[in-house]
Amino acid sequence: MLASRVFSLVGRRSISTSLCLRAHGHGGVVKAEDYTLPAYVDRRDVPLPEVAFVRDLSAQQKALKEKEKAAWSQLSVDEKVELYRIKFNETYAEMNKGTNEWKTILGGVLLFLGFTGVILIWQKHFMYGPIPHTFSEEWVSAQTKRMLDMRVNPVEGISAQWDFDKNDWKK
Amino acid sequence: ARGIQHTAVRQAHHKHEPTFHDKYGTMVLLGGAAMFSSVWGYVFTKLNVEWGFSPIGRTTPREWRE
Repeated sequence: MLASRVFSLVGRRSISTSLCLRAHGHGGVVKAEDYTLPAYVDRRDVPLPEVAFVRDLSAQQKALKEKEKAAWSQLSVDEKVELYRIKFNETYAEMNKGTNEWKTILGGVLLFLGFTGVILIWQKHFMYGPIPHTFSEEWVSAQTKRMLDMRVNPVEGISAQWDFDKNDWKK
Repeated sequence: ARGIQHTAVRQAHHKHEPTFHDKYGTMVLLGGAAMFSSVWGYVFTKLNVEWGFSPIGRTTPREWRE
């Protein structure tokens, strides 16, 4: 009795159109949404999903399901495959099959890293000024000798890498 | 919803159309690699960027006293 009172309210009050349609269409009961029903899933760790893959069978498929109730030796190979496909979407082999996705991913990554290089080129061309003269080959070589003469960082640094007897860098 | 009615004949299910990756994956990979190597090859060789590498093992010390 209480339920009928609720349903009469449903008829009178203004709620969403779709809900109204459903309420009128199915005698006041709201149709269950697809997402509320048990779902089919292709997963390696779920060998037998809760429902069959194909929910609404065609007439052909319904006839086949009837035939399935008899002796299975009467079924042809094609019919057995069709029954399998009604129940399952992908086979394990199809599920586990690798893809070529890595190519697109790697290619995209390299593309964007290349774009980073383009940014550097732009910066060098449009933004940075000339390189200071203290970076020229002659200045750096003179600077290096002066540092070695002063014994700069003799423990682990530059002077430690120079062999003062052989007058060359340590190998 | 997954329970879409498959009214097509059984063969139709087994045609798995090539995905984007099947069609263009190799091209994208090679194109990306080419772009990457060309850009960074240019940056490291021709662009004359001061990377500030260590002089150790690279420069020959030169007399500085005048």
